[in-house]
Amino acid sequence: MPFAMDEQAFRAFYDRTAPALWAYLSRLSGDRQLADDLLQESYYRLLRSRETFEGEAHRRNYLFRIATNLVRDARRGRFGSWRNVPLPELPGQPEAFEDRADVKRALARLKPRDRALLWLAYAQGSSHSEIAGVLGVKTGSIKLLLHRARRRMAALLNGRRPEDGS
Amino acid sequence: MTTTWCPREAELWEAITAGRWPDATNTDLWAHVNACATCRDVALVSSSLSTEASAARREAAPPSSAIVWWRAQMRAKQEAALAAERPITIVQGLAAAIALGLGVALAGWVLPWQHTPLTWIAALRDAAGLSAADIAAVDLTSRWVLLPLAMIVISLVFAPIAVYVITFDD
Repeated sequence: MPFAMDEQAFRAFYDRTAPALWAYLSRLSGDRQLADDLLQESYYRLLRSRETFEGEAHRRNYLFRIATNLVRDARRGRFGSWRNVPLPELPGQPEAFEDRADVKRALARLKPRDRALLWLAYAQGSSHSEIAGVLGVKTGSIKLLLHRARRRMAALLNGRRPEDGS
Repeated sequence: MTTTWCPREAELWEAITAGRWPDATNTDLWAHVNACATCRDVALVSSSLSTEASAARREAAPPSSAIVWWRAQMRAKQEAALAAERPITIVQGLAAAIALGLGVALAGWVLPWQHTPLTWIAALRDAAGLSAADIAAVDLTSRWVLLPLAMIVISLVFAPIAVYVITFDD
């Protein structure tokens, strides 16, 4: 089966999307090595897909959807629970380290879907319809899901226990 | 968990995405965010995650596009070769199992030990509950019955083993 893109188109698309995808994978999985592996697997599956893309945004959403599913599968097989996600080493100043460690710790304690939702919305600035496409949920439910996930994350960042125990 | 919506949430989000937050000049929005729990959450979470996203992108060192393209091509070729080989090896395995069955049956026909009574066939016949009258017309120790029977039995035993060995990737 031929690839869905030629080399030139692939390399241009990869260069535009790989840093953001790696950031998403590393923060979603909490594992840099795993992020490296899943990045390549995501692009390979994109190349082998039979999907017809309407444009760059559609292709990018599809790529992130593949990546989301791969992280979920990898975690189910390797750790059994997202709660045990290790925190990677963080570079930077001690003060920045503390702040970022809090963010990472809060992310690690969230449910996988909440983590993906928040990252796509606030780290990548994706629209509700884009998030819905990546996560495979209805666009109309994103607002509520995002609201709840945000409250849980804010509670964790403020050192409070989230209301639903997440 | 109760859900509280704020009508100014969209305004805050627009300011954040446009890089206008935190902007000390927008005192009205600042005052609102300080008073509104929903908007405070939006501001806290979005600023935390956008800082984290910038850091993550700086850390990101994905392999070059040339390497990823080359590896994808190599893997696709490997997978294509495996997919092409699989039907051939399955047929070869089946052919080998049938040939083995034929060979053993032929040996049984030619060699003298096949003339000894095969007690297991009699036991099988008894287990099946067939009366002697039912199968009286058939002599199971006859070479003309034994030959195809041995072929079938050996093929049934070896064919699945051959297919398993051939198709087991690891």
